[in-house]
Amino acid sequence: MFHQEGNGLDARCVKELRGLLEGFENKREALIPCLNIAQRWQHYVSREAAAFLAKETDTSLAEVYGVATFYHMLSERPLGKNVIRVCDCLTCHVKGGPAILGALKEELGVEIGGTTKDGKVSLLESPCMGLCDIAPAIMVNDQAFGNLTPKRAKDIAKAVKIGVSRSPAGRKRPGKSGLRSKVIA
Amino acid sequence: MRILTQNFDKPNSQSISVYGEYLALRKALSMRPAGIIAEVRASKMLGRGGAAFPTGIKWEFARRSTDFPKYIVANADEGEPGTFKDKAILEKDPHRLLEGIIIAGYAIGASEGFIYTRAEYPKAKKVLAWAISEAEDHGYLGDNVIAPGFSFRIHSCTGAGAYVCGDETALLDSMEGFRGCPRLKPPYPTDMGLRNKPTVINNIETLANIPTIIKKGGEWYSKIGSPNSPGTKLMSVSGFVKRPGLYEVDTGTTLGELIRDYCGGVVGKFKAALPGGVSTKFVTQLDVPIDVPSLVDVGSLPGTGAVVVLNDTVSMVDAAKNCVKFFADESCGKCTPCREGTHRAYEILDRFSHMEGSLDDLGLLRELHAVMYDTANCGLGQSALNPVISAIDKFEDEFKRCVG
Repeated sequence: MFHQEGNGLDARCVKELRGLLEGFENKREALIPCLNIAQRWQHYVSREAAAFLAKETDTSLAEVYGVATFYHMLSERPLGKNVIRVCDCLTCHVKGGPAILGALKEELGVEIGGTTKDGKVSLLESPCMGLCDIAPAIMVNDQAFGNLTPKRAKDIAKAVKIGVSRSPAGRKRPGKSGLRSKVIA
Repeated sequence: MRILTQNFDKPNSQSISVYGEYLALRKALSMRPAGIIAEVRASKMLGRGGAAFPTGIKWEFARRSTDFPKYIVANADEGEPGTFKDKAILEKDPHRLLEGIIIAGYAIGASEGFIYTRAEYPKAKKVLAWAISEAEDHGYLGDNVIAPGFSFRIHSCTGAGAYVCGDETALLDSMEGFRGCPRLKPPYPTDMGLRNKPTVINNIETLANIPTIIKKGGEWYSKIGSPNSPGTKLMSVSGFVKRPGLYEVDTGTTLGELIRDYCGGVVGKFKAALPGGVSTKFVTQLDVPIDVPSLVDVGSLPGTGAVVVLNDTVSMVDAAKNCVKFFADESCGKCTPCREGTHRAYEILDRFSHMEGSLDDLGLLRELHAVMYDTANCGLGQSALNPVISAIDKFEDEFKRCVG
């Protein structure tokens, strides 16, 4: 329902982008926050989104792609609805990070950078996420998990595979009323 | 002495009801800006982001500039592997940081501040947004802060994942919507920073120290810890220790005391430690005091205070390769020595890890390090091979065993 066919920009995504752009005097300064929003809605920065932002921020498409490809939280090809990031920096590496990565690859049946066939989960390697005190650690979307064993990592991957995917608007369980946390991109 | 972490154990430490009134701000607003800077200079505090530049002097440069408007930027793009101190301040005591930023703004004559948080810290961003709205409700932010005449606003902004944006000029480019490539210096940001206006960019930990310095005086602060780089330092300890975590110690405490008394000792047999993240050099002795001159004396650097402890199960070739892989991935590609040097170094270390190294390669790595140190544009390239060179210096046998 959030993952639209034909890569068209979701109307609610456009509304959120326009709302953000309005608050900036120099539109160019809004580019990176806008790219973050597009990434959250579409799970990647589509050509449509890039073209839309190029127009709104008065730059070229190449310039927008230049920025989008520079930052590693932004992706130019579609990622799954959930993203598992595995830390591979020194502390996690020496404390068993490679074994965690191996377990996740096995459980999900994908390589680094791959997405499961149902489009639900992507597996990425990430530089340090500040979770060194609980190394080896991973992040599933915005949630951190630490002190992992390969078995626990597999359990988490299993839960993510069958679990409810989060809504890009920030609400965890669609349909259940409650406070909607405001996400500041 | 606990300054920055004094509220960390209290429940709801992130709320203004626990932090209390901004007493230091009230005091600062009754002083002249030059007087505030004099206090900060008297505290002799060195910047906590890694470069260890005296904070008071940086503020003085910005205050003297006659160009307006001026800006304060709080750098929360902590990407240095092993570091998690700024995240703790943002999540557990954001009001200490906000008060520090407002005081800094008043001292240099700025009316806008920015906090640039890295994209990997979603929770910190949420806590911070809440804290800013609390401060606005209490009249510490907005028009006429506390008393009429001084207005200040703080904006929270965010990156999208790039280690190099921790460099102050790359951070400015990122805030302006560009790829985060470090600019050529000079001009320094205190002359031409954000939007080409005078800008002070301080680390989160630096700014969080300011309220205490104003409340108790610079001279009081300068007497804590070691005289050359006084104060307390947040140390993120990770790796093979019994209790990894964040600890606040007086400067001058030795690495050994930190690991033994705070972290419960090393798991296994101690081999080497990085005293300040992966861009510093490995040290093998534990009696080094944690302060700037002492760490420089043993050939390392204070860095960000991220201590990564390695034990004898770790191969130094593997550790060095991991560090260089990180820098090769994170190099922005603007200057040639770093863009090419990090990848060539990775290739060489990859050969060693497959037992195909050669003795000539060790010389080549040293040469690469010398060239990158002399010619790279920013700190990333200059320090990228620090862990490699120190590993070779101290554990040459291990590298020689990998010669094919």
